[in-house]
Amino acid sequence: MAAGANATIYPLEGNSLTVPHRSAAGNKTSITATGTATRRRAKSFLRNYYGIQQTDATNQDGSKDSSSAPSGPTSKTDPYDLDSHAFEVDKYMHKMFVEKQLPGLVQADNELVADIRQLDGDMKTLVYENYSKFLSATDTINKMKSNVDNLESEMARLTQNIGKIATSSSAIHSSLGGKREKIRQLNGVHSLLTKLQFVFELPTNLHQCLETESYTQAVKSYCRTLHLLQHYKHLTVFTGIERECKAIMVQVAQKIRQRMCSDTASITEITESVGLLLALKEDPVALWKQYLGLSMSALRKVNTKTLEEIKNLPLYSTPPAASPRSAQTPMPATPKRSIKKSARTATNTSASSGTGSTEKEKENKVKTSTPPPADKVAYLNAYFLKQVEAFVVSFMNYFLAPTAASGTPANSSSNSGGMTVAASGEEAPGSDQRPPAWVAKDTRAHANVTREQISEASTTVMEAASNMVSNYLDTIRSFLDYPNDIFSIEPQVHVHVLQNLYLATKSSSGLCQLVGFDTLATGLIQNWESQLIERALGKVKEGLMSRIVQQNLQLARQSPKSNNSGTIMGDVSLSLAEPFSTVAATQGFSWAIVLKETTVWLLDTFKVDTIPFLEKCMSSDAQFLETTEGRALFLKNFQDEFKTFWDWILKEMQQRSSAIPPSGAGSTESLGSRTSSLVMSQLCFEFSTSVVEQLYKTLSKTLFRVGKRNRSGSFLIESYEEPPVLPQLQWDCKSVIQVCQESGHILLDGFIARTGNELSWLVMDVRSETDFMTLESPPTGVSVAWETIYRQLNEIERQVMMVYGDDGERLGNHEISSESTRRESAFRPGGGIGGGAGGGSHSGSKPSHQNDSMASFGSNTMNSRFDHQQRNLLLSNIDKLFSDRVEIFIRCQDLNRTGIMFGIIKILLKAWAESVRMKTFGKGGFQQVQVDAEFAKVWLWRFATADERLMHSLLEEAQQTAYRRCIDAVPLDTHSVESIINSFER
Amino acid sequence: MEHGEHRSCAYGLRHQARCLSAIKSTDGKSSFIIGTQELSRPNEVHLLTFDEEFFEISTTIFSHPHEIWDISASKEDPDLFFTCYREVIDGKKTQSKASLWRMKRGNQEQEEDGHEGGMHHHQTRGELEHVLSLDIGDGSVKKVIWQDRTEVISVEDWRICIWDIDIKQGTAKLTGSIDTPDKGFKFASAVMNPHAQEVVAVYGRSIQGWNLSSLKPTFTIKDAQPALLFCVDYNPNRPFQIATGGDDCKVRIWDVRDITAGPIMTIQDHTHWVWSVAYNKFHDQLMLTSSSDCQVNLQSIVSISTGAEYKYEGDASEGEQGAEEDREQGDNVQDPPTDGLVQAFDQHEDSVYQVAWSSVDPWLFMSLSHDGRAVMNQVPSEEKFKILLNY
Repeated sequence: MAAGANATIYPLEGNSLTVPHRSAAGNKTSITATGTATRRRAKSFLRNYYGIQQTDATNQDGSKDSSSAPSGPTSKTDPYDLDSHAFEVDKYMHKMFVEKQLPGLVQADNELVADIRQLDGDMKTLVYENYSKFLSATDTINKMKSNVDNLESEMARLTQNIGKIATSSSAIHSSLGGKREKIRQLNGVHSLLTKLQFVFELPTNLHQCLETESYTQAVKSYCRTLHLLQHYKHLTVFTGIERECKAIMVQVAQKIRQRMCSDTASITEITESVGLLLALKEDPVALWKQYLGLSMSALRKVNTKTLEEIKNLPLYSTPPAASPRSAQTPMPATPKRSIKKSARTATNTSASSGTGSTEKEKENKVKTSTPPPADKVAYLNAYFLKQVEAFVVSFMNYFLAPTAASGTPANSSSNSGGMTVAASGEEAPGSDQRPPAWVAKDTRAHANVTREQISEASTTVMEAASNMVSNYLDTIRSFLDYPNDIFSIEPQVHVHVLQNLYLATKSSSGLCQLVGFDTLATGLIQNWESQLIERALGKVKEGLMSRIVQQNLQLARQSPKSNNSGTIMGDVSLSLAEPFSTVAATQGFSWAIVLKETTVWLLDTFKVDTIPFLEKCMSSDAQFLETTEGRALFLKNFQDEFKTFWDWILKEMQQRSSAIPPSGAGSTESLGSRTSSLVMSQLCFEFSTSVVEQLYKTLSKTLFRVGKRNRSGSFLIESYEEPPVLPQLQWDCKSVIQVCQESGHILLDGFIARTGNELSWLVMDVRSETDFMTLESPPTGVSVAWETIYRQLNEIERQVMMVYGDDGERLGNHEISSESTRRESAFRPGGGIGGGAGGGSHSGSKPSHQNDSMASFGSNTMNSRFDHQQRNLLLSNIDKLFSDRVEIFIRCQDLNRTGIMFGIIKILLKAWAESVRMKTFGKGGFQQVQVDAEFAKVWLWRFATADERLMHSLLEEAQQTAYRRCIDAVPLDTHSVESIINSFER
Repeated sequence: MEHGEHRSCAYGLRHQARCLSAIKSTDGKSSFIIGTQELSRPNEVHLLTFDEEFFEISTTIFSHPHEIWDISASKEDPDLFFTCYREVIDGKKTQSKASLWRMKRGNQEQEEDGHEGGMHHHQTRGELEHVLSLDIGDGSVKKVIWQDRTEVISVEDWRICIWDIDIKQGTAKLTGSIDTPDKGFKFASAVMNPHAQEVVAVYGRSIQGWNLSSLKPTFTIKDAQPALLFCVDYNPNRPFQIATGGDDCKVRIWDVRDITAGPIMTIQDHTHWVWSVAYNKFHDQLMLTSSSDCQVNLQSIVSISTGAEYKYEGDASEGEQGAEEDREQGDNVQDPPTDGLVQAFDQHEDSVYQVAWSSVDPWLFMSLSHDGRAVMNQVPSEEKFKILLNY
């Protein structure tokens, strides 16, 4: 009914929507009819319709109305509202009459009539619908009533039947109860009798077995009945049988022992025999010792035999092919499949071993099912390693299993023990001689082997087995050779050997468990990998180093032969006649090009030789590389080696650099060897700026490429956009770059310090060849030391520029080039001094680099400069106070001509200033210093463009010190100094 | 006088100077003597005594006839010292001499010294009494080293001489000499082995030791570094350990028993030549170095010092250090001292040619720069406590 009510609401509400329109139309003044008012009205309609407007409804209404009264005062109490309770017809009519004209009234009347008619229709529809529903409901109830009546009678019948069944069932039960017990007893007696029969027949059976030599069967039967015999010892019948059996079994045991100890016994036979003896409760300690001894000798025999046999086999079974490419194609198919097949057969046979076919048959099956292995390692694996493995597995099962199975020695349930044996047997698919479950069970059941004995056994066998394994690995190792030219290796051969090794480890879980065969093998593989990588990289290193040496030689040969004649320049364009210097012969020769060549060579070597080589090793069909961890290991290996490769190169460079013997005071020969530091430093910087990153990028897209490598060999797919360095290489890349940069700095600073020191020693007059006390005055020219220094500085600058390139900061008229003509013109002081000589003030002639530091002297004459020495000292002291601390031997930050040359000049001038303090001068000596300082100012300033101020203050200091350390200081005047300097070139 | 954060005390000589020596004073005050080096002006010897209570320096000034290249105070008598000086003869050449002097501190005329920022120095004048001279001849002596009261060693350019001196009589007798092994290089400096009768000298790039009685070489380190060596000092507490400095800015420490192994430590904190290196006599883990980069560096070399032996006495190579301290003691408060630069003192504005520890106060030292400024400094207290609490 409720559903019906719900259904009926909708049409009403649909109607109610029209209500506001109507009221609005009819009652234009009360347009306050809001949404809530409309709804309320609709509700009241419904309420009216269903007659539930009383009590709570009114209450609710009332409360709501009171609250909403102010907002809509006309809604309830409005007597003019048609829908309101308070509607008063008279008032409404009156109002209508008052307010409306006739047409309006007529219209209102029409509307009302229409409304009424519609309401009437609606009402009728509602009534009809509800009535029909009510009818159908009545029908349904009637139907239900008749059904229930039917059900009751059915139920009653059911109950009755079940009751009957219950009674008959209990009757049957009680009648059969007595016989059940009897049957059970009879059953037991039957089985006992069967057993007894077996026992009584045992001696005969055993005899039969002994005669037919089926010892296994004998032992099996005996073991099965043994506990029975033990149990019924007190009965004479059984004692007799037991005695009889025992006698037979002793014979059997003897026979077995004989068979085992015979020379020709194979490992399988030995193993089987030992298993039987063990089942007969022979003393396990003595037994394992014997077993070990026998097996070892047998295995040794097998080993020598196999080694003998494989001598004639090829290492790699494919026919030697003309081209490596054709060799590669047939290779993957044959050996791999054969190995796999043999492995699979091994698994199959071991799985079927439970069925009872003898070992020999199985071995034959293995032999026949696979063609005999065609190459050394496979043969060795099949005929030697497999035997060792078999021995180890059975040994472990026989003697070591309790410890291996669980920590608890004997009381572990035999059931679980058997399970483990089975499990371990399954784990070792290669083990054909898994002892039958019953043997293992019995062994464990009477486990009278103490823990100590077990551990002794395990250590002994471990020793023996590791001997075997290491022998084996040595053999394998001997197959791998690393020729000098590492790239000449046929990677397939090596990979094939290792592949076999890897497969062997996979199929010898016993050895793995006992002596860590897999780790050993992995170690061997790892070793091979690192050897390979190391050698490959070593080759590159060698090449690089020899290149450096060669280049250095070229550079040295480039340097002008020191000519001791008066000409300072030497012939610079000189020895370019050497055939190698096709590049160098050009005017704009730059060593940077040659360096570039080296780096390109390095990149190419990696791209063309090293990476493809390793790629080839990796992409060949090697399962040990196929696994993700194998691959990762290889790559990790390579990554590490690659990093060490850099360290190695850099270290070697530094060693080479520091190994250059310190030359005597700046002899010219030393210049050649010294430059190697320079070249190497630049190479390091080159590495750090581009080469390393490029190489790592190359690696990222080749060796380290994620995903399947394509085996076609097209490893270098030149893509246009450079792939970024892989994340796992990024750290390496960064650190290598850093290390390169660091070494570059070390090498360069070493070069600067060395060069600076060597020049310093010239000026310091280490051997004190000059006596400054007695030098004649005025000096005739610039001192020899300074001339040499100038010459060498030019040479050094040339070398620096060749290596580091020109930074273009030089001033035009001092430009130095390899052209001797330019050099000549550069030597003339560019009109500077020449013009300035007349002017008397040199500061005017070199405006670009003179003013600041000379400010304290200005255009004073030399004389007045020293007259005012005290004041100047004060000034220079104040100057020092405010100037930064001068650091002489520091890292050269400007990697260009200016920076490097200034580094050298700094060292030189500071050394001079220091050494002047150590000397005492006569008149001539002081004047010599004056001339030298002026010379340095004029000729060396272009090396010191980085900080001329410093250069001038150092030179000034030298002069001042010399003045103070002079007994009778009479400074030369500017003219004489300049004329001496100008005479220098003539 | 200057009060820096580490309480340093500076004194200006108004002369150029390059030599400094600590005096073995008897009154517990740290004293140093400095000899000036002025070619054409009167030279002086300044005796500086440091009064810790007032934190000031009082000076006694003595006149010295010629420019002083090296000064060396007696290890026993606070009044005696040698100077090596050069005399100009006829304005043509110089004559090198070495003399022993006795200080006579007499007249108490006080002067006010307003030169260094108006600070007050107690300044007195004294006289030098010439005791004796070594008969150098034509050689040029750079250094005199005291062996004991009766034996001194003079280092000349091309030879080292051993002298017996008699202070009372005023006589000196030459008892032996060692010629430089390499004619190409002069002796640069030398030091006595405080543990044996041995002198260790540096020349060119090499270091060599000689037994004083047999005059035979004890060890030679050929081409110890690629550059020239300037100075050497012997570890006062640990035999066979020496330190050298030179024109590659590095200080190298050697174990002379195993010269093939190279230096056991190389320190590079200077940016120019190292002119002086001095072990602390009390704590040989502290080492001073001075350089022409105007800096004085205080280095800690604890890992190779006797301090390390206390700490890890198990692997100490020498057995002579018997004293063993409770290891626990070191673990409580302070971090143990570590190797490295403790502090760089940059109060100088010119090359610092010499630095010396006080012979009285283990934490006090003086450095002298060429412009005549002497600065007294102390080991920073943190380092001091580290050492004191850990050993």
